[in-house]
Amino acid sequence: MDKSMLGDLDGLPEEDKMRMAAMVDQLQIRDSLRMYNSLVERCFTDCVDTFRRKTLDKQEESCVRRCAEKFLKHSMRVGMRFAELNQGVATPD
Amino acid sequence: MRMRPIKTSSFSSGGALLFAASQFPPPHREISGLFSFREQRAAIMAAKPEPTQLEKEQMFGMMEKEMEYRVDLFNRLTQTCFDKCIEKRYKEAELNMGENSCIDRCVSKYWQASQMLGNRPQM
Repeated sequence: MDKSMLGDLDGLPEEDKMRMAAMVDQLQIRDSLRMYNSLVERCFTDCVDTFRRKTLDKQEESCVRRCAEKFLKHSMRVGMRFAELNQGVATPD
Repeated sequence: MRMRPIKTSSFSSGGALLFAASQFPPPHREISGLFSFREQRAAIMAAKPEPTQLEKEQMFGMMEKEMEYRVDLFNRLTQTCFDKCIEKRYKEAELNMGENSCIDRCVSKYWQASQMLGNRPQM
Protein backbone atom coordinates (compact mmCIF):
# COMPACT_ATOMS: atom_id res chain seq x y z
CA MET A 1 0.00 0.00 0.00
CA ASP A 2 1.48 3.25 -1.10
CA LYS A 3 1.52 5.74 1.73
CA SER A 4 2.45 8.54 -0.62
CA MET A 5 -1.21 8.65 -1.52
CA LEU A 6 -1.73 10.39 1.75
CA GLY A 7 0.17 13.37 0.40
CA ASP A 8 -2.86 15.54 0.83
CA LEU A 9 -2.22 15.36 4.54
CA ASP A 10 1.21 16.88 4.34
CA GLY A 11 0.26 19.65 6.71
CA LEU A 12 -0.26 17.24 9.54
CA PRO A 13 2.39 16.35 12.05
CA GLU A 14 4.19 13.06 11.68
CA GLU A 15 2.25 11.21 14.32
CA ASP A 16 -1.04 12.09 12.70
CA LYS A 17 0.20 10.91 9.35
CA MET A 18 1.24 7.66 10.90
CA ARG A 19 -2.14 7.35 12.49
CA MET A 20 -3.83 7.84 9.14
CA ALA A 21 -1.54 5.29 7.58
CA ALA A 22 -2.37 2.81 10.32
CA MET A 23 -6.07 3.42 9.75
CA VAL A 24 -5.70 2.79 6.05
CA ASP A 25 -3.79 -0.43 6.77
CA GLN A 26 -6.52 -1.67 9.05
CA LEU A 27 -9.24 -0.89 6.57
CA GLN A 28 -7.22 -2.64 3.91
CA ILE A 29 -6.91 -5.83 5.93
CA ARG A 30 -10.58 -5.80 6.74
CA ASP A 31 -11.47 -5.19 3.13
CA SER A 32 -9.24 -8.02 1.91
CA LEU A 33 -10.76 -10.49 4.34
CA ARG A 34 -14.26 -9.49 3.40
CA MET A 35 -13.50 -9.78 -0.27
CA TYR A 36 -12.04 -13.22 0.28
CA ASN A 37 -15.15 -14.45 2.06
CA SER A 38 -17.52 -13.06 -0.51
CA LEU A 39 -15.41 -14.53 -3.29
CA VAL A 40 -15.59 -18.00 -1.76
CA GLU A 41 -19.31 -17.71 -1.22
CA ARG A 42 -19.96 -16.50 -4.72
CA CYS A 43 -17.89 -19.18 -6.44
CA PHE A 44 -19.32 -21.92 -4.29
CA THR A 45 -22.87 -20.80 -4.96
CA ASP A 46 -22.30 -20.58 -8.69
CA CYS A 47 -20.35 -23.80 -9.14
CA VAL A 48 -21.55 -26.37 -6.65
CA ASP A 49 -25.07 -27.72 -6.87
CA THR A 50 -25.00 -31.37 -6.00
CA PHE A 51 -24.03 -33.11 -2.81
CA ARG A 52 -23.70 -36.77 -3.74
CA ARG A 53 -20.12 -36.80 -2.52
CA LYS A 54 -18.31 -34.89 0.13
CA THR A 55 -15.40 -33.79 -2.07
CA LEU A 56 -15.47 -31.45 -5.06
CA ASP A 57 -15.33 -33.27 -8.38
CA LYS A 58 -13.01 -32.17 -11.19
CA GLN A 59 -15.62 -30.03 -12.86
CA GLU A 60 -16.54 -28.20 -9.71
CA GLU A 61 -12.92 -27.68 -8.85
CA SER A 62 -12.03 -26.08 -12.18
CA CYS A 63 -15.23 -24.06 -12.14
CA VAL A 64 -14.36 -22.64 -8.74
CA ARG A 65 -10.82 -21.90 -9.83
CA ARG A 66 -11.97 -20.13 -12.99
CA CYS A 67 -14.58 -18.21 -11.08
CA ALA A 68 -12.01 -16.92 -8.60
CA GLU A 69 -9.55 -15.91 -11.28
CA LYS A 70 -12.22 -14.21 -13.26
CA PHE A 71 -13.49 -12.29 -10.29
CA LEU A 72 -10.04 -11.11 -9.34
CA LYS A 73 -9.28 -9.96 -12.88
CA HIS A 74 -12.64 -8.26 -12.99
CA SER A 75 -11.92 -6.56 -9.70
CA MET A 76 -8.61 -5.28 -11.00
CA ARG A 77 -10.19 -3.86 -14.11
CA VAL A 78 -12.97 -2.21 -12.14
CA GLY A 79 -10.32 -0.71 -9.93
CA MET A 80 -8.50 0.76 -12.90
CA ARG A 81 -11.63 2.32 -14.34
CA PHE A 82 -12.77 3.57 -10.96
CA ALA A 83 -9.46 5.34 -10.45
CA GLU A 84 -9.69 6.90 -13.91
CA LEU A 85 -13.16 8.21 -13.24
CA ASN A 86 -12.12 9.58 -9.90
CA GLN A 87 -9.37 11.54 -11.58
CA GLY A 88 -11.70 12.78 -14.29
CA VAL A 89 -9.83 11.10 -17.15
CA ALA A 90 -11.81 11.02 -20.39
CA THR A 91 -12.64 7.43 -21.31
CA PRO A 92 -13.65 5.96 -24.67
CA ASP A 93 -17.24 4.91 -25.29
CA MET B 1 -8.28 -32.62 -2.06
CA ARG B 2 -6.29 -29.42 -1.83
CA MET B 3 -6.51 -26.56 -4.26
CA ARG B 4 -3.43 -24.85 -5.51
CA PRO B 5 -3.34 -21.22 -4.43
CA ILE B 6 -4.51 -18.80 -7.08
CA LYS B 7 -1.57 -17.01 -8.60
CA THR B 8 -2.81 -13.47 -8.96
CA SER B 9 -1.09 -10.63 -7.28
CA SER B 10 -4.07 -8.40 -6.74
CA PHE B 11 -5.53 -10.50 -4.01
CA SER B 12 -3.57 -9.26 -1.09
CA SER B 13 -3.66 -5.64 -2.10
CA GLY B 14 -7.26 -4.92 -1.10
CA GLY B 15 -7.86 -2.91 -4.23
CA ALA B 16 -10.71 -0.91 -2.82
CA LEU B 17 -8.53 0.74 -0.26
CA LEU B 18 -6.06 1.97 -2.81
CA PHE B 19 -8.76 4.00 -4.44
CA ALA B 20 -10.40 5.14 -1.28
CA ALA B 21 -7.13 6.41 0.05
CA SER B 22 -6.11 8.09 -3.15
CA GLN B 23 -9.24 10.06 -3.70
CA PHE B 24 -8.90 13.29 -1.79
CA PRO B 25 -10.84 15.53 -2.37
CA PRO B 26 -14.02 13.45 -2.54
CA PRO B 27 -15.65 13.26 -5.97
CA HIS B 28 -19.21 13.74 -4.81
CA ARG B 29 -19.29 17.29 -3.68
CA GLU B 30 -22.84 17.22 -2.36
CA ILE B 31 -22.75 13.95 -0.51
CA SER B 32 -19.44 14.96 0.86
CA GLY B 33 -21.32 17.70 2.61
CA LEU B 34 -22.00 14.89 5.02
CA PHE B 35 -18.37 14.09 5.51
CA SER B 36 -16.73 17.28 4.36
CA PHE B 37 -13.59 16.54 6.24
CA ARG B 38 -11.59 18.60 3.86
CA GLU B 39 -13.62 21.71 4.52
CA GLN B 40 -13.59 20.95 8.20
CA ARG B 41 -9.89 20.45 8.21
CA ALA B 42 -9.34 23.70 6.30
CA ALA B 43 -11.55 25.56 8.73
CA ILE B 44 -9.81 24.03 11.69
CA MET B 45 -6.37 24.83 10.33
CA ALA B 46 -7.39 28.36 9.44
CA ALA B 47 -9.11 29.14 12.72
CA LYS B 48 -6.26 28.34 15.07
CA PRO B 49 -2.61 27.61 14.70
CA GLU B 50 -2.98 24.31 16.48
CA PRO B 51 -6.20 22.28 16.39
CA THR B 52 -7.41 21.03 19.73
CA GLN B 53 -7.38 17.35 20.53
CA LEU B 54 -11.14 17.20 20.17
CA GLU B 55 -11.05 18.79 16.76
CA LYS B 56 -8.36 16.41 15.67
CA GLU B 57 -10.43 13.49 16.79
CA GLN B 58 -13.37 14.81 14.84
CA MET B 59 -11.20 15.20 11.81
CA PHE B 60 -9.95 11.64 12.02
CA GLY B 61 -13.46 10.42 12.54
CA MET B 62 -14.61 12.22 9.42
CA MET B 63 -11.76 10.90 7.34
CA GLU B 64 -12.39 7.40 8.52
CA LYS B 65 -16.06 7.61 7.62
CA GLU B 66 -15.18 9.05 4.26
CA MET B 67 -12.84 6.19 3.55
CA GLU B 68 -15.33 3.60 4.60
CA TYR B 69 -17.87 5.16 2.29
CA ARG B 70 -15.46 4.97 -0.62
CA VAL B 71 -14.56 1.39 0.10
CA ASP B 72 -18.20 0.42 0.34
CA LEU B 73 -18.95 2.18 -2.93
CA PHE B 74 -16.15 0.31 -4.64
CA ASN B 75 -17.20 -3.07 -3.25
CA ARG B 76 -20.80 -2.64 -4.30
CA LEU B 77 -19.73 -1.44 -7.71
CA THR B 78 -17.50 -4.48 -8.16
CA GLN B 79 -20.18 -6.95 -7.15
CA THR B 80 -22.93 -5.31 -9.17
CA CYS B 81 -20.94 -5.11 -12.38
CA PHE B 82 -19.75 -8.69 -11.95
CA ASP B 83 -23.33 -9.88 -11.66
CA LYS B 84 -24.40 -7.85 -14.65
CA CYS B 85 -21.53 -8.58 -17.00
CA ILE B 86 -20.08 -12.00 -16.31
CA GLU B 87 -21.78 -15.25 -17.23
CA LYS B 88 -22.05 -17.66 -14.38
CA ARG B 89 -20.91 -20.67 -16.40
CA TYR B 90 -17.21 -19.74 -16.08
CA LYS B 91 -16.08 -21.40 -19.27
CA GLU B 92 -12.61 -19.92 -18.90
CA ALA B 93 -10.47 -17.97 -16.45
CA GLU B 94 -9.86 -14.98 -18.75
CA LEU B 95 -12.16 -12.06 -19.39
CA ASN B 96 -13.15 -11.87 -23.04
CA MET B 97 -13.50 -8.66 -25.03
CA GLY B 98 -17.24 -8.43 -24.55
CA GLU B 99 -16.91 -8.74 -20.82
CA ASN B 100 -14.16 -6.15 -20.76
CA SER B 101 -16.24 -3.53 -22.53
CA CYS B 102 -19.25 -4.42 -20.44
CA ILE B 103 -17.22 -3.87 -17.29
CA ASP B 104 -15.91 -0.52 -18.49
CA ARG B 105 -19.35 0.72 -19.38
CA CYS B 106 -20.94 -0.65 -16.25
CA VAL B 107 -18.42 1.11 -14.06
CA SER B 108 -18.93 4.34 -15.94
CA LYS B 109 -22.72 4.18 -15.66
CA TYR B 110 -22.63 3.21 -12.02
CA TRP B 111 -20.33 6.12 -11.36
CA GLN B 112 -22.61 8.51 -13.19
CA ALA B 113 -25.63 7.24 -11.28
CA SER B 114 -23.81 7.62 -8.03
CA GLN B 115 -22.84 11.21 -8.81
CA MET B 116 -26.37 12.03 -9.87
CA LEU B 117 -27.78 10.69 -6.63
CA GLY B 118 -25.04 12.32 -4.63
CA ASN B 119 -26.56 15.70 -5.37
CA ARG B 120 -29.19 16.61 -2.88
CA PRO B 121 -32.47 15.37 -4.34
CA GLN B 122 -34.74 18.17 -5.45
CA MET B 123 -37.78 18.18 -3.22
